[in-house]
Amino acid sequence: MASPLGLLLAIAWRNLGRNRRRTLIAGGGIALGVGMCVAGFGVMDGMSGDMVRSITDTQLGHVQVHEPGFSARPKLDLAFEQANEHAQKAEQLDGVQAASARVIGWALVSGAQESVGVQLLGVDPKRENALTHLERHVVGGDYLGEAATPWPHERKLTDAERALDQRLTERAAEQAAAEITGLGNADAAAPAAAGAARSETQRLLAEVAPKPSHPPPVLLGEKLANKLHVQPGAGVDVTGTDVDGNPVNVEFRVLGILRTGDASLDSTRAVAHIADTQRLFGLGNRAHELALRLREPSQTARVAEKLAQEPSFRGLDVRTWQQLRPDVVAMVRTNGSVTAIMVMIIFAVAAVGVADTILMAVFERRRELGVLKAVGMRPLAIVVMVAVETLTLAIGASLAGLALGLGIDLFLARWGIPLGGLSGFSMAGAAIPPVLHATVTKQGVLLPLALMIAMALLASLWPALIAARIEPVLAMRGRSE
Amino acid sequence: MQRIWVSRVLLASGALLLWPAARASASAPSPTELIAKADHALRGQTTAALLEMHIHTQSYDRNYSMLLWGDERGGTSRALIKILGPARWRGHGTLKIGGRLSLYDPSTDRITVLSGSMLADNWMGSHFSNDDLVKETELARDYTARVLKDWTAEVAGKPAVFHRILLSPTPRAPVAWDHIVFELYEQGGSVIPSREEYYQRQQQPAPTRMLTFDSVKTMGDRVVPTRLTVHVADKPSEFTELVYKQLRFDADVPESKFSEQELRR
Repeated sequence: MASPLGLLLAIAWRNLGRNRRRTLIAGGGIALGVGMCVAGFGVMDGMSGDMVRSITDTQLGHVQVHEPGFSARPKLDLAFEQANEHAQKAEQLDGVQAASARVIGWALVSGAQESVGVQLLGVDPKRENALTHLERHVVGGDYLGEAATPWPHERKLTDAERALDQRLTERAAEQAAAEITGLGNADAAAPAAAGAARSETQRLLAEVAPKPSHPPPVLLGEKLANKLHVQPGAGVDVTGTDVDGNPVNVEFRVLGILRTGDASLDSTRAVAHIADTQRLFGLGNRAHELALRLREPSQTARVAEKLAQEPSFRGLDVRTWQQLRPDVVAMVRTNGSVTAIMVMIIFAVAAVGVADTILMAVFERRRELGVLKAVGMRPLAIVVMVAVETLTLAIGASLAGLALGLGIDLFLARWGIPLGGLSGFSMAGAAIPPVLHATVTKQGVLLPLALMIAMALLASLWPALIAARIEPVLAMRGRSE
Repeated sequence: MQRIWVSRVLLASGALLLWPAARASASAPSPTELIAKADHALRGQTTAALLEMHIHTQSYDRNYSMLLWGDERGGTSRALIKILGPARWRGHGTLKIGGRLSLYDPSTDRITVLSGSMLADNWMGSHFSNDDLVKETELARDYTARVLKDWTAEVAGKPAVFHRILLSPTPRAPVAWDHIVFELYEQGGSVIPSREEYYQRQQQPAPTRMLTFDSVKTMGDRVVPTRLTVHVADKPSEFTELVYKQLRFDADVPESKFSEQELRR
């Protein structure tokens, strides 16, 4: 003897087979609905994923660490100590693929004629390349080498030198005082040129603020290099202010040209070795930013939390890319909402179709249902029977739809939909890819499937209740009430 | 945001603005007249000054010897500051012509015209920003003055009439402060500033920035405070101090002082 459920399944199967055309049409509707939803989710997830990747693959990374206050208002003195140690520590963390510490400063870069204000980014060449594949963007010249530029350390002046310096200052002040007093007096001698003072100052300066032994290398964005009219090998002057407010001015040599495709980066960013920028800005071993790239982007929140708990990261501001770029998160969420609305519409239409099919089936079988009731079948059992019938249809059709949707997804993942005129378009810095590629995600597959089955079940309730309430005698007579 | 006031500090230190000297009236001067006079205590049509700047921060202490030329005779205010020592900064210069600020570094013989984000950097490590040098605010023009309190007290053994004056920005003034409390006194025909408190919000227990003036001496034919100290609220232990060593007002400062050639000299 078959179990009651087995029996119900057998009945359901047979009932579905009675009117094959109707079953196929209803099932086809469900399958198409599920297929389109899966494909829709795939394309939307693909687009969101591309958009997110377009920002996390650049300077952002998945997780960033700063000194508190830096993200709100970047300032040169908001830097954390031991940049290298922090990068190493972060790299050892589970799930971290690469970590790179950066110096973020501002400077004026000058060629022979033009000067342009830039963001001067100091990076560890190897680590940064592991994170953002910076080397791939070098379109002319070379990428930064491993070694920092030799740069003599400053030393304190001796007592004799300090006394000399004092005398030089006093002499200059005396001359200035004389000039002020002599103002408007034509006979007053013009102040003597301070040639000797200048050369002595130069000598002292070499001790307190030494220059590098040769010009440190720097990579310039392509548009920046064009604006400055410089090529790899050319010298550029880098002028700025160090962390103690001292004006700094060092000649760099253009090593390579960067083309990232981001117009603002390519026109306002210069990249140098982190150690050279630390010397330039007087930062010691400090850095402003630590960026992390994770093996699994979905682990972002977990890794960020773990990193923040590391003793050496206490007191630092650890943020996920979602926290740093809420605009992109909002955009992704909008994409999700649009997809969800689309899914709902498709399913509502499909549910009406299902309800209609089952209702028709129930009406056709009035007599039969009346007999079943008359021989003692309970109303609940009839409801279950109709529901099982619907479920069988829905599950079978949904699986077919799933196959269809996955097929479309896989096709689009491989070939993509070219966006034509929209290509290269970006929203809030997140690039919309020129070709839409679908991505298959767990959620994008399971959600339409589960929703469709639930909806079908819900849609079957109405016909099932009608079936359960059939009056056996009237039904067997062929009357409706 | 916090910069506008400091332009006034450097104005005070350097006469960077054109403003006709407020007419002295025989009767009790209005608060606006008092403010105009105090605001111009350290500025003339031209100003020549030898001064020292002492910067105290958590990470360094620094002293500059500086020579300053200021000119408010033309339509644009101009100033040239040259650092006389120590060696690390000797020969560095700053030239301001109206809203344009150029820095000169003798070690590379390069003049940098500041722009954009670099204006927010502090000037030579002090508690002034480059922007402070460029912004041009005139207290008597950009604020309306109301006396909060008058009293008399002795300064250096002589009676002085003190005024505490509340300055509220006029509706269209390009200033970032909610209000300023200016304390000054009249003594022997001079109006001498003693304290300026700058507030960003209406209800604020302590001023965001505070200037104090003291060491009153006769210098350049005027009675002036020769020391000016700047404190900032977010770094209470830090300050920048300006001490005037020599001052001369309204002398014939040659136009050529305010040029790139002079910056390089």
